[in-house]
Amino acid sequence: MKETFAQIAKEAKADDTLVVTLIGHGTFDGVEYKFNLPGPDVTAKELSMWMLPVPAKRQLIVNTTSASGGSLADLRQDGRTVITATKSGTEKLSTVFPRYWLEALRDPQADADKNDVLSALEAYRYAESKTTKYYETNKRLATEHPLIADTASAQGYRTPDATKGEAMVAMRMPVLVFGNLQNAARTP
Amino acid sequence: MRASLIGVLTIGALLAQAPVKKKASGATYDRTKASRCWDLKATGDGVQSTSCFVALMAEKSPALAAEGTWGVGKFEEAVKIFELALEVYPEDPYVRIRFGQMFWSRFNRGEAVKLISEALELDKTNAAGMLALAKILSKGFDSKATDLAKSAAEADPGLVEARELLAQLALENSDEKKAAEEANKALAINPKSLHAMAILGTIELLKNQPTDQFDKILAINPKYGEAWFWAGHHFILNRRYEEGIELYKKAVALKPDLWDAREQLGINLMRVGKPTEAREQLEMAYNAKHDSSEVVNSLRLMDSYKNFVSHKFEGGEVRLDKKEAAILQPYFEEEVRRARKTYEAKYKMHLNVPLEVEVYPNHEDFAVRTMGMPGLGATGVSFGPVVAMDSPSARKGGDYHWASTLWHELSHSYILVMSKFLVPRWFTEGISVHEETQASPEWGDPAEAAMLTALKEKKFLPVDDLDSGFVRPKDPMQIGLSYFQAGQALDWIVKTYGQDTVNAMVLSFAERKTTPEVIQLHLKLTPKEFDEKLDAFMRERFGKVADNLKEIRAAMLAATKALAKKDWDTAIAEGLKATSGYPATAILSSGYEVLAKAYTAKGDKVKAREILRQYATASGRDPESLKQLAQLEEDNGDKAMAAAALKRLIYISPIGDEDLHRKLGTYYLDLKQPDRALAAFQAQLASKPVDPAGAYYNLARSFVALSRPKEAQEAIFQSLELAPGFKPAQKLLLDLENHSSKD
Repeated sequence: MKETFAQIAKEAKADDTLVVTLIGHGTFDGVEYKFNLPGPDVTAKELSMWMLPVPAKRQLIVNTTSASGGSLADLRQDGRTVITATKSGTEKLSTVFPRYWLEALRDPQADADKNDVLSALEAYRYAESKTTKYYETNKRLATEHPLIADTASAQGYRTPDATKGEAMVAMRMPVLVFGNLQNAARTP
Repeated sequence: MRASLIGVLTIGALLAQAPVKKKASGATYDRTKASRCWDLKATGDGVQSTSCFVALMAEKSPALAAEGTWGVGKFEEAVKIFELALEVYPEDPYVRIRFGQMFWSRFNRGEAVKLISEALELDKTNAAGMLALAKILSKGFDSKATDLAKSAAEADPGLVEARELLAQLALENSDEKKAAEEANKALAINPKSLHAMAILGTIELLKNQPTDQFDKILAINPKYGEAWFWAGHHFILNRRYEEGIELYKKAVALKPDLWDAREQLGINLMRVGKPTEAREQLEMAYNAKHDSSEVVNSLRLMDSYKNFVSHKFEGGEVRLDKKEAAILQPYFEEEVRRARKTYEAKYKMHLNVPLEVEVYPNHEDFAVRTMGMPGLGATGVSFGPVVAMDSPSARKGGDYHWASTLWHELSHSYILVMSKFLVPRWFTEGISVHEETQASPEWGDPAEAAMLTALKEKKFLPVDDLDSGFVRPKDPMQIGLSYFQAGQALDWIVKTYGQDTVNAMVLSFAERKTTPEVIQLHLKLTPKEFDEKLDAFMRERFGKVADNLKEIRAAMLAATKALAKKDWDTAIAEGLKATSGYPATAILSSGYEVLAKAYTAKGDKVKAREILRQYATASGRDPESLKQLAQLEEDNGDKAMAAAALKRLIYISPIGDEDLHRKLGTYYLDLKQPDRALAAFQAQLASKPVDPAGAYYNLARSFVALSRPKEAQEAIFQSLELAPGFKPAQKLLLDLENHSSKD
């Protein structure tokens, strides 16, 4: 992973958008979050360090693992939007958030403002809403509470309120383009 | 204040003598002194009884002092003195019994049972202990109460209260003959047994016959409100709510501080939909420190009523939680209207009052609404024309068919009124279970494995004792078995004799005829013959599956294992073996699910669709499976069938699933059914959709199809306000404006 990020750092440009999605299992020991991999696990601090040299000004990291809330503090920084499936490192059970995050990337409904651009905030709202409803309809105690943070100081919002200026960076962070814009991007 | 000081001084004095412990067995203090005070209290002589209790508080014996402190209402202090008494008389069972009874009087069942059980460990044949425990268990309708009361009566033949309790228990079990026998035994012991007289009087009242028992009671004790309280208790158990309420009112008029009566009066006023009067009674009880769980829970529930909205329509009213009213209201109204029309034609009767339906998103709120306590297993209950029930959101999606429950309860509403609330439990439950599948063959709860086993092992109750399976089941399973048996019984009666015979039977019950009499009169059968014919009917329906349960389970297991190993052919072969040729039962659902997965994995959409159709008609309720069926129907180009598949989910899991409403609305629009589409899209919008702009656009399309241009325009504006660049909405607005300019 470290080498891959180093390669991205060489190739990426300032106008690019870097999107990192972590799917799998994460752990939190009370101090440090780790993304579990075969071999040594990767800590949130390491991941954040590896992403720093990437010149892309727009960065999004979507950590969908269990205990991903424990990575928020280490990952957040100005210009980077961080989305976690859980609100803290203590929410340790497997998550359904990634299912709905991926669904957001496929479902045109996720583009709530219908501008043919799916922003990080729109995709987050879609996945967060579906995750909440999943636990409600299955009458299960919610064991994950997703968060989004898009500044170095943000603690993370569960349901960001744009009228209060919350998650404004994420609102402008494109994740996907649809329709005519997609065609235009393919055939510039 | 004075009593309080006395209490403190007494505790101090008693603590000072605490080291003096006595080892004793049996009675170690003069209990008659305490009994005299309680007798005075029972006669309603407040001044004399208080003086008596105050005198007891000064007694050296901590057991007596504890009684006195309890008697003047100093419960916390009494606990301390009772604890001291336990040290002084460690082997005296009566101290533990009385201590337990005080806890019971303060609604602490756990401590009460613990202490009385300890007393019975000290003295297994202690009649007072057995009686005290029987009284506690009787409140929860525990069948052990009768055995304990019998043992108490045998251990102490002079114990009048044991006979009184046995009479009460027998009457609760609708055994009037036994109740009268026991009451007369109590009167033989004590000719002034007021409780026994009340039981005898209640038996007459329940038969709508005149009685002089209450005059006799009041001649002995003019303030004995308990007589009316117990009468009210039995009327309520017989679902004669309005009469029961009037009896409770008489009880509190006679004895205003009879808080048990005020509690039950409040709860039953709540049951029949009179929350203001109910709150008044419950608050009076609460303010008098009668803070039982029933009172506290009911008051809390009523505080939450501000979160409900009421919707009235011709012949009905639905009260729903604000959060889900927009989704559920159209569907509930539709079903109440349909049920009312169906039942009035079928039962040939008209209800002069609206059917009121209360729908609770929190199951425990429904339980409190029904019983005053959480922990109720049922999903709905009818108090005559008032029905309370779980909302679909109260249960896990797929576990609960709300429309089936609604029709079940509304059937009770008619049958209870038609029978003047005299129909036996088995018959009204049987009709209600029968009606579930009449509303739709896919509704109702299919037979479970336990019912099939009971059929094979002949474990069903005889019809003339079937009520006990509902009222005082020997184990929790017996309730479910009794519902099933009663439902089968009514299926058989309707099939064999017709609906008119059922109606005639209800009217005979209204004339106070018994089950054997009604069966003989209308079916020309003895109860034994009835049981035999019912057994034959059930065996014809379910005998094959009941006899092959073991083989079916083995095939099901093999199919599931093969599915896990991705051995689709084996999964299909075993799945078919487990399901083919058997009638719809709960155990077949998982077999259909396995088959559908295996066919889907093999890419055989036609077979998958065929299996899922069978699954749906056999009451399959898994939301994902039904959605898959809808998709397969759509893939097959049949949107009507796709809509029918999804409509099933409206009755099962309509809350929190915006996709369900969106897809259903889209199908209806394509099928040129805009009114249904509108309801579906309104439900989508009320589900807090991830795409509100799209939801408003869909709503606008429905309004356009319904030729309601102004509302369509309003919905488009809402959509464009959220998504100004939404091209389909812009186009629809343009089309609308062009259309209106042409007009």
